[in-house]
Amino acid sequence: MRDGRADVAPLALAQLQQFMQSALLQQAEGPDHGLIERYIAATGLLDPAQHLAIYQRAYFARLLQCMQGQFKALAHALGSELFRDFACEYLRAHPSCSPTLAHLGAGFADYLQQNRPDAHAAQPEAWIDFMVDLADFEWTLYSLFDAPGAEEQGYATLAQQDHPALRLQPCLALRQYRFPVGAYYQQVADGHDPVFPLAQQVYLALVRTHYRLGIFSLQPAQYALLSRLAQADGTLAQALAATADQLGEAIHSLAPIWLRGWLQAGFLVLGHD
Amino acid sequence: MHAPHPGDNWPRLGLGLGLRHVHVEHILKHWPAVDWFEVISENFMFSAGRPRQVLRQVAERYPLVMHGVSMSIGSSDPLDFRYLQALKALADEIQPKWISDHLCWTGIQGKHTHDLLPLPLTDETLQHVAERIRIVQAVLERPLVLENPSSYLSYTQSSWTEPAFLAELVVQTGCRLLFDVNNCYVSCYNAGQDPQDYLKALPHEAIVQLHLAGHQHCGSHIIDTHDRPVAAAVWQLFQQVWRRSPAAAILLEWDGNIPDFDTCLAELHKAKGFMQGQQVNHWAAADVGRVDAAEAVSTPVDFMVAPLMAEARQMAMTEQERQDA
Ligand SMILES: [Fe+2]
Repeated sequence: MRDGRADVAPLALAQLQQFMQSALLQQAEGPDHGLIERYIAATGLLDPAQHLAIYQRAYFARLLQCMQGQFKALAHALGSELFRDFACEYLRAHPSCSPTLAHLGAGFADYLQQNRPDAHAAQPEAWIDFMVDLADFEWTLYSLFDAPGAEEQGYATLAQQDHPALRLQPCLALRQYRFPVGAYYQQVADGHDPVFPLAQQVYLALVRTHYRLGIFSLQPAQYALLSRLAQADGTLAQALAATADQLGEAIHSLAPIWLRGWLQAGFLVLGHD
Repeated sequence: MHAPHPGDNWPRLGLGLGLRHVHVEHILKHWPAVDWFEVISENFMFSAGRPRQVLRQVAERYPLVMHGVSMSIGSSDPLDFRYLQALKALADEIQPKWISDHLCWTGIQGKHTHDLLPLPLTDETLQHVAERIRIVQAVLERPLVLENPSSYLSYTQSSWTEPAFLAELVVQTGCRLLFDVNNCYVSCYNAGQDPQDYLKALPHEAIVQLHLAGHQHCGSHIIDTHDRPVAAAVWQLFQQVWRRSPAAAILLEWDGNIPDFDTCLAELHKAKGFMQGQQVNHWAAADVGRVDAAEAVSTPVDFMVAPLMAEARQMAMTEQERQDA
């Protein structure tokens, strides 16, 4: 490493890369024609702008294919043209900042929410709520695929149902949606063409156990109890105590039944304390 | 600043395939007879899920090589040491025979285009890339293996040819080469150059691996699509290169419209005949005279996105729910 500044790039290289990257990402208007001719050589078959255009076309096409893979149900719901429009706008506003494509769609649901086409309408449109919820649902599932799980550590068993160290396992997400997005997703996965669903508040647990992803429907009270357990690093007994006011005393008789289901489904592990 | 190099005992791996999501079930079930697998490093470096678990199983049965697409060795951004550490950690875990990436840059200002963008081949770039290769080799504690990318443009600034540039990097850093035969054909066509001139300047003795893949001819240019069988002209070039680098490991890349595992294997094994001197029959080849109007995606990357949809299921938690369902 000469003079401790080995990794300082030559200016000409930095300028050329600045030109190329903005030509691809198209954050501003397209690159100046003079610059294109200055940097890119013509050949017998194509002029400089045509050479550059091959990269420009491929950039969006390539990342769009990835987004379609990460949001299959949403792409199905919107149809390919509308999905492409939303995805390309998103990619323009939020170019990838990660060396892995596995993070490409991380901000898509938020982007859709913040740039709702009905932002200036008097009434929010239901299909946009559905789109935002479905995007969040698919992204949550997708993230769980690569997230740290409890496969090595192992899951808590029925015999441990009274153990004070019971905690939610790390590869579990609790979500509430305004539409039955899980059912919609499943129908698309099974090759059907489901109709746009009616609004219906749903509570879901998305869980990876033994490297398999599962979508579980929850009752509102189950969702409240599990959310409490997820928030604070407390025991199940503490979570029960904290939610009893809200959920009513019946929770004390229901919780042991629920707990057995959760243990069998691999929701829980033994924490360290 | 030279990394300790493990000498020149580069293993002869034979004929391998890229490990792809869509083939994983088949591989884990049948443990097919293929000499080795190349894995995309970024698919596993950041995964704590099934991909990494599958990889550990595959690593027990087959020699592996790690092939990266995001090192961005030619970027004007500083090297990403978190990336390099993750790469090293994966290498420590699966013990690849070597680690490769491309002579390219993929983004600046912290952004990633997920494309393999060409570099201006100048003296300055050469020094910049050489210095970074030395740093990478020190972190990874092994020589880096560098691949020639497919390119669709050349810069007015460039004063080096690509093979001469690669040869000089080998001299200056001790890195080795992954020569992508198809990329050479594609880049030469797109730059209006003769692949024969390219081969003349190529340092054959530094080649440890060869890539083969299919491309799409669009008339005015060729796109590196990795989505079809290898073109006859590329097989012919392969035959020539093989004579001069007979120890190189051979790998077929098939990343778009990926057929079943056995079809990929059959395409790979065509190489055997050409290695033994069998004539490439141009007129029988499927690609002859085929020019496509609609451009397919170059260097597709969506094969890296896990096909998750078939995997996630709605589950019943209780016996009652199961009966209701
Ligand atoms: Fe390649």
